[in-house]
Amino acid sequence: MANVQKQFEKFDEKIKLRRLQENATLTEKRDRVLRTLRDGLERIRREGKKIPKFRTFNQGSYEIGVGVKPLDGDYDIDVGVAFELARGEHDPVAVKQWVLEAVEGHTARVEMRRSCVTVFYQAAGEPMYHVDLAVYADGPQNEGKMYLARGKLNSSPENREWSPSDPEGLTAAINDRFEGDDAKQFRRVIRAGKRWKDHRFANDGHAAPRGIALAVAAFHWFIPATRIVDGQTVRDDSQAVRNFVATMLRNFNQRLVVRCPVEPFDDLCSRMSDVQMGAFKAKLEALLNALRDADLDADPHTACKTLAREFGDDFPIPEPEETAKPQRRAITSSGSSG
Amino acid sequence: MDANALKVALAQAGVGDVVAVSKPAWRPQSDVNEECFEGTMVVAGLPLRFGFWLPGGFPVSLPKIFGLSSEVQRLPHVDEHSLICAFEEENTLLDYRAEDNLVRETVQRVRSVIEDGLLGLNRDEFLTEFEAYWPRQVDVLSAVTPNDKPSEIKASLDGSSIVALADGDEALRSYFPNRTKQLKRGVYLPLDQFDLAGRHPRDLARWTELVPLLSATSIEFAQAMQITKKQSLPVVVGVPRADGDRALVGLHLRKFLNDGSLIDARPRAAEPFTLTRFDAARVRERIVAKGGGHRVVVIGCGSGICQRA
Repeated sequence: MANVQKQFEKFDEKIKLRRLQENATLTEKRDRVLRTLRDGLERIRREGKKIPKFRTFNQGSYEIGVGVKPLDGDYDIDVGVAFELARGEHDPVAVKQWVLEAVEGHTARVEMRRSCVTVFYQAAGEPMYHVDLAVYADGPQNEGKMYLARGKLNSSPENREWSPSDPEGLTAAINDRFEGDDAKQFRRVIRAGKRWKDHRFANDGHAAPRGIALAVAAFHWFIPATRIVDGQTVRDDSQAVRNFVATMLRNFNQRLVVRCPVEPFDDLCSRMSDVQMGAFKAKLEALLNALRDADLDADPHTACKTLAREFGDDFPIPEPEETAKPQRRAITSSGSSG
Repeated sequence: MDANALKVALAQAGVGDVVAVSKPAWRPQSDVNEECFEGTMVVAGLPLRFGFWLPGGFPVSLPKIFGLSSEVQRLPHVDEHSLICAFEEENTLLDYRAEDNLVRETVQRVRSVIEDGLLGLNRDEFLTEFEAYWPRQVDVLSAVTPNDKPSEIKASLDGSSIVALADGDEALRSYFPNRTKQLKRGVYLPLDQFDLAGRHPRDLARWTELVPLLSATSIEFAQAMQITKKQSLPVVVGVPRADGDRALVGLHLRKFLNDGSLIDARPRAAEPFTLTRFDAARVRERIVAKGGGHRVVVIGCGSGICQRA
């Protein structure tokens, strides 16, 4: 069995995005949007509209430390905008419209999408960043819960809703799930999973599971993996990914249900069709096979080639001369199990 | 390989919480007090307990690994004693100089076999090796021809125990000349292709479970066959395999509640038995690969350490 732990760690270094605070460019983009938002809401207030107090907070993959560099270069920044208001007294789309009006004109393209208002940054016509502003009703008027505003400008009344949500609870749940080296491996496995998804669904992104679904799946099913090498306990990311993938496959029952651990406790894969689920399962099976083949391969060079087919070109392949001479297998069998 | 080296090899293979155990219940009876270990492996997200035993023949034979957790015991390639069959005994060559690797590679293979089982990926292999999962308390010599047609067969009994089976009197005498004792009729009944649908082959070792799986011609044959309360009836069942051949397993039906047609029979006892087969199909299967045309050469290497050819 080839030891590919070093390659898994190098791969992680290549793909991982630091937390937002550690990424000056993204922090600057976010702060500029938030300044525009504050100024814009103040302007709307001055025009006579009664806008309640609000606060902003970071959410999404940066906040839980599982962001990966996007293959298409379109970085995604998620920010929550929570207004102190009673949800029963406000139309969710009207509240999102305050935000839309406040940031409109900040860049050439600002859109209200179903679950957020998005500010797009482009360079030479290519997307570079987008900031998703998710709008919430917060405060004591809502029995201590937060509600996400859903709906678009021309949505019918039945498609406008305040849906229960706990983005900060989700961030805390994931951040507190593991500690120390287990937490580091937990995040490496999520990032590897997200990059695998981006690579393997590159031509059909909308059919892919959401990144947050993979992170929450890991919240439920990741188990730290180690092995002993030269008397030392070392991390075994290959085994950890394999176990995680196999556990997802074991939990497939026609569909994979990934339940959010906080409000709204919904299935984060519910938007995938049955056909998309089938494709997801087939891709997971291919990944499991690759992980197994790599595990059985005594040569790190060929083992990493197998893994690079699944995880993409950022997975490093050591040159044959860089690796120790692979040991021959001790068991040669022409058949399968007895 | 001493106990400490085994423990290290297991830990290197990712087995955790390894502890030495003396004479565990899962190890086959042996006069030799070989050291045994138990440890945990996470497979498909389940922390499972396994038993590890280096038999006296190691490293010429492989380490034996037993699945101690209940989730493992009804999976393909796990026998009734929880022993996990990682490799075919035949056609497997071992590098006896690399003891650590033999342990690690066996553990790796076991992990894959159990992972496949937990994910339902090797469920079809229950049907491929149906005979291996049939209860094995009694084994009977057999020259019954497996085909698609139900037929009466002949059984040789010693008291109430079946000794041998064949298609007829003549075949019985020809195949097993020294085993023809008290001759009785039996029946061969082929099954239709079926889906185990999550059941273990052992679950089918009951007459009431087999009847719904009988082929149309078997049902017709069993309807016509009359049995009496006093008699017992050896039944050989032909289980279709994906490769077109049939596995053969047996049930010895006894203590019928009523006289009448076999299909309506209600035996109060049905003792499963396995068959050691000498029929032409099995002999051919064992000596030549599918497609035929192969010659078999058995080479004695004279080194004292031989593999079966």
